[in-house]
Amino acid sequence: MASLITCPHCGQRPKEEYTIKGDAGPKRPAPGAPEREWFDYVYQRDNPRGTLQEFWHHSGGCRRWLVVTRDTVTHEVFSVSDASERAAS
Amino acid sequence: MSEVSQMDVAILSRPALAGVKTGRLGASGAAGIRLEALPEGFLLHLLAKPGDGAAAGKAEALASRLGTVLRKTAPGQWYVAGGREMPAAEVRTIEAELLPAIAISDQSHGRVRIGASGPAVESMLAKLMAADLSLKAFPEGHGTTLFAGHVAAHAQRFSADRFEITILRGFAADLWGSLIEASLEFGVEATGPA
Repeated sequence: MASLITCPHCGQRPKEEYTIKGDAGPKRPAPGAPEREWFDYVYQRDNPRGTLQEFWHHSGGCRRWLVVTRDTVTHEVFSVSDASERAAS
Repeated sequence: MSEVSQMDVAILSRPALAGVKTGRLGASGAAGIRLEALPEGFLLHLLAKPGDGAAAGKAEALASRLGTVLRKTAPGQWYVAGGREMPAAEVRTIEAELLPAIAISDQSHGRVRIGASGPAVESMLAKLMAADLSLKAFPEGHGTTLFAGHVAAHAQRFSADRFEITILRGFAADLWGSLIEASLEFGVEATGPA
């Protein structure tokens, strides 16, 4: 687990200040999408070896949702950005 | 059975830090740390849209009108706090002025402030807070929310050797204990609530 995350708003902080929601990959299906799609969205997760994008909440700091791109093997953190930027793009 | 109406119950205001350990504690010599329970006056949480420059300007104007500083807590969010009590009517007036750009949450009863100062204050706080507290990274006027031990708190720097820590009321006595413990090696002069 990456232990130091640099929040774009607060600076470098320990992982204890954050709450991890998990994979930022799955896209929410349309409300009327078939049950199969919803099942996949809610329950199915890849467990990749290597680069992973995750939602992290800075619950002990600015309380913003962040997107952390990190390596699940080396624990290297490649980037941290505010989740609102991701939604806009 | 006698009826108990609300009129029969005296509601007493009790400081969050009543009864905590105070006085001259720890290492002898000149105290490296001074802790003080600050008056539980007003504390307003201002919430605006992140990046809204006009709202930031309004917040800045409010802080200077109240004779205090803006304490940044998150993008588009600040605390303004002071030692005097603020009547509910005044909070509503301020709210009416600032809406819709800024919403207000009155936290006067919810959070308390602790002053921490002295030549060793950076080293002492660094034991509890995993943020860079050096004057370069955390200059005067800078504020941030961070963990103090295992509890989320807010730290604001007022000078090279003075910080104010804002903490949820229920955690205040616990944090005070941690601050005292962290200060013992430097020698501490602790003043409780008036």
